[in-house]
Amino acid sequence: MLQSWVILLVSLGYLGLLFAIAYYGDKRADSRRSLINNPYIYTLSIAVYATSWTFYGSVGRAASSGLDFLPIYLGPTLTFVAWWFLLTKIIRITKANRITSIADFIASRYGKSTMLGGLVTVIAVVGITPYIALQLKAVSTSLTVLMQYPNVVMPSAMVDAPVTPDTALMVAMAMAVFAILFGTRHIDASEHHEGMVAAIAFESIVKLVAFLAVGLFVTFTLHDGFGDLFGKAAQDPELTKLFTVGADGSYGQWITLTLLSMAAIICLPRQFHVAAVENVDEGHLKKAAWLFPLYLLLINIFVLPIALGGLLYFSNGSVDADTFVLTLPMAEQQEGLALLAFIGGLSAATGMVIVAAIALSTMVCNDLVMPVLLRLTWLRLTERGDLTGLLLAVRRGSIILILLMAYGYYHFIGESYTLVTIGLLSFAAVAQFAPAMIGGIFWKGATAAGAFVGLCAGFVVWVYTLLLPSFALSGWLPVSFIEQGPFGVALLKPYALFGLAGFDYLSHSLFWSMLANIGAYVGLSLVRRQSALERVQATRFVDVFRLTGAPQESAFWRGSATVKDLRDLLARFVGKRRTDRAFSAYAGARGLNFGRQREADSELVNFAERLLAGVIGSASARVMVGSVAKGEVVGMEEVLAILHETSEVIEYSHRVEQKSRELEIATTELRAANERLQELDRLKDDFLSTISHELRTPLTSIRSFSEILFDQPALDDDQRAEFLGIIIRESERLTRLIDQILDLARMEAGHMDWRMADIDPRAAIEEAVAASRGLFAENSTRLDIDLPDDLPAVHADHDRLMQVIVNLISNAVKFCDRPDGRVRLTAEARPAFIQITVADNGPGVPEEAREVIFERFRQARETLTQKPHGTGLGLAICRQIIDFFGGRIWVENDASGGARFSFTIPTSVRMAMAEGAE
Amino acid sequence: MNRASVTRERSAALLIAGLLLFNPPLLLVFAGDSSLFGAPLSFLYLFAAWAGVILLVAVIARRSAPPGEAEPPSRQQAANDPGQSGG
Repeated sequence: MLQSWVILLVSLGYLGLLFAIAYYGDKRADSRRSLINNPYIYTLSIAVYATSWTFYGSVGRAASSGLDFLPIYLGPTLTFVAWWFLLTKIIRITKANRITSIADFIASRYGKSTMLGGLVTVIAVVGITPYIALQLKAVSTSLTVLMQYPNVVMPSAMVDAPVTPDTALMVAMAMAVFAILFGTRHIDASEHHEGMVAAIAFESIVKLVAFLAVGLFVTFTLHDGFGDLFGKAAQDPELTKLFTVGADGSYGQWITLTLLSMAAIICLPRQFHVAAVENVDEGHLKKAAWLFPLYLLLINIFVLPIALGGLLYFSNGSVDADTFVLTLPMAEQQEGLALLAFIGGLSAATGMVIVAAIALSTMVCNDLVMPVLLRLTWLRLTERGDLTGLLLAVRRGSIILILLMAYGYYHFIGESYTLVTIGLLSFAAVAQFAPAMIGGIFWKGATAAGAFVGLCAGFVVWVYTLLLPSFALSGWLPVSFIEQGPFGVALLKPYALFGLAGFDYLSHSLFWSMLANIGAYVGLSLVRRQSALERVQATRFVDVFRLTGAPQESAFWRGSATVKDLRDLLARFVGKRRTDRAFSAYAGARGLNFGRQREADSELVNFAERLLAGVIGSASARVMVGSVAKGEVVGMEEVLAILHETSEVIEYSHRVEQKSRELEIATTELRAANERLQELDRLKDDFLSTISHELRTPLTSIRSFSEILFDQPALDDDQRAEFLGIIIRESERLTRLIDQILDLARMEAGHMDWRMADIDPRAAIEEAVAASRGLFAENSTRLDIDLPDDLPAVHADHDRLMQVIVNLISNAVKFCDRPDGRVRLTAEARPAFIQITVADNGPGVPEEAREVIFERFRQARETLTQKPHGTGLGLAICRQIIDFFGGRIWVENDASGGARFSFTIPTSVRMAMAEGAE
Repeated sequence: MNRASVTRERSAALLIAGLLLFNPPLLLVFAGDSSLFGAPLSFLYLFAAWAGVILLVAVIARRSAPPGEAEPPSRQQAANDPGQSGG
């Protein structure tokens, strides 16, 4: 006789055993002799996938629609076929980034977006609630049924059943306590719960053994093996239908279920938790890849036989097929087997609830509550050193809340559904994570905006096409919501959205939600650009194998980038001076003060990356900045050590570059100098050839006249005197020419001895006029002088000034009109300078020659045959002298056409000051 | 061909094969009423195919490259190491 107290005692004893195992597992972990560090325990912990849904629900499903229960297990098998490039990558990323949950995973991938983490958490909590409700329902139903032993009575049929105590609520609270005891005894930085994993693994063994025991009992004790059982069933045409796939003609649902379960095995928070977060060694996956599917195969072999056996046994339909696993042994008076079946079911349920509650509470705490709490500055949480107490309280609170929500769902809605129907609702919800997750680890271009909007859209469609209808079917919303659409709009019917009919409700929902989800995800990712942080994270996720050669845990640390970290990093590559300059320019432009700001914001990180990209290339810069920008990465010291070599190479190449730049500059200078030298050389050649020509002319005449005198002694005296006169004049000309050349050369070379002084210009002019008197007499030319009495003193060289005036006068005499030559010399005082003008009544200087006549050996000759009137150096010397005095010399024609040579000389500074003082 | 890409290709091929084996229309070939050894054909087929896939996963896993080589070499690395693709 199976008494109630026996059942309760065994149940509590079993839970106590689990706790002992967990305690032992934690102790072993503390002493570094891990209990779970082998692939078999890892496989069994992943087998938490098999819940009450599998244990009780699959049989119920098989009893109504045959092999349709199978895709839920074929899908995970297919996902595990891809273990090598999918699961390993997820695990590696999780370890490398110290990820604690699927919300953390998705948020971290898309630039550590808090919004995204919160959204994933909300979807997960809402989506998983029905799933936990499913477990509560299974446990409370099985407990209620077992309590009636030896009678087989369904809870719904118990008219006189005691309303209190509420079994499901008791179960929910018991499980909450259990989950709290297991998962939140203390806070582990790595979110490892070795004891819990050990207990889960044990539960997986128990539920497999229990289910196989019932299966063997039904197949080989009640019947004579598979052949006999199938043979008996084949005689009933109703049961024969269950032998075939898609018994109700919906192949579409088969594919949908396969896809959903493929996604669920990685997207369910608890599966992610045991497979990735709790993974000790990614090498375990190598065995788990085929052991886990094998586990699923074993636990499913007897599903159809039990279902058929149950249908044959309880042919009147009074027993819910979801309880066949329990009711068949009960009906056969197998007390021990019934108790084992119950314990197996309890294992399946508690395993799922514990892991799911822990995974969800971690997400709620880390991705939903704490980000908000830490932002409420008035709580001053950031100033408190130890937050573990708060963390534990938040987690425990959220576990209780989650289980209460699940109880609520079960109490108000779940009663009317089969286990599998409820579970599929959750599968469809978590499948929304698949695009962001799979896309995130293979596609670098995926953006946070795309993931966020995609998840929102998918979730909204899920709520509309699955969750709300389930409310409606339970009477919480009018049924017209499903049948006529909201407000009678037929296009919005939740099971036939936009008129899409002909699908089962699950495929329909999956199609629309995935269309919205993937559409927004891909579309927005293609349109929007990533932030630097997103790009950094994308690279760290997609290229995780390239970035982490071997799994290494100790090399990572937590913490985010500080301004100092970035500064040091940049200084290493860009140089301290440039870094300081760039940072102060950045701070100045934005009104920041880095003295007070410690944490670098993403914009500064972005800025630093761009700065760095100029030095070590954009790809390396991304990695480098990524290494300091996001927490949980290689420490600065190591990064700098690794890259010390690189920086040396860079420095060396910098030096080489600088040298070559210097060389280039020197070469350019040399080339310019060379060109100038060549130019000078050409000028010198020109000068020499002109000079020698000019020297030759008088020499030639001297020589020819000397030869005549030498050859013809018979010349008369007059002629002899005339020739000698020419020789003397030409010699004088030659002397003058050489003097002038020497003068000019000295002046140009800057070797002239200038005797600068404050002189009276009037004296110089009068002296020069006196020296030129003979010239006027000789040429019968008249000189008019107009000098004011009060010419100010000028700062000049007296002799040179005289030379200029004499030169200009003799020029004027040479060119003035014969025989009535007139030369006029005037001087006038202007402010700050005096102007002296020598004018003649000659032919004037043509416009185009007015500049060139001041150059050496350039005269205003009409033709080349004309005999030159002078050396051609006089005006050039005049210009040199006047330039030195700081004045200006030029020529113009006066109204009557004669030439007017004018020059200016600044008045003495001392004079000007004296005048100003008066 | 290196070991990594062999493992990757085999895994991918088995994934596609599994998708085909476990889903219509190939599933419908075995959907008839006929039975073998007294068990329904589709029941036998699904479990046999399932077991076959698991066996192949085990075989591939046994001979797999360590996951560190899981990523194809980047273009740059490939350019530096032309022997890798030929080996």
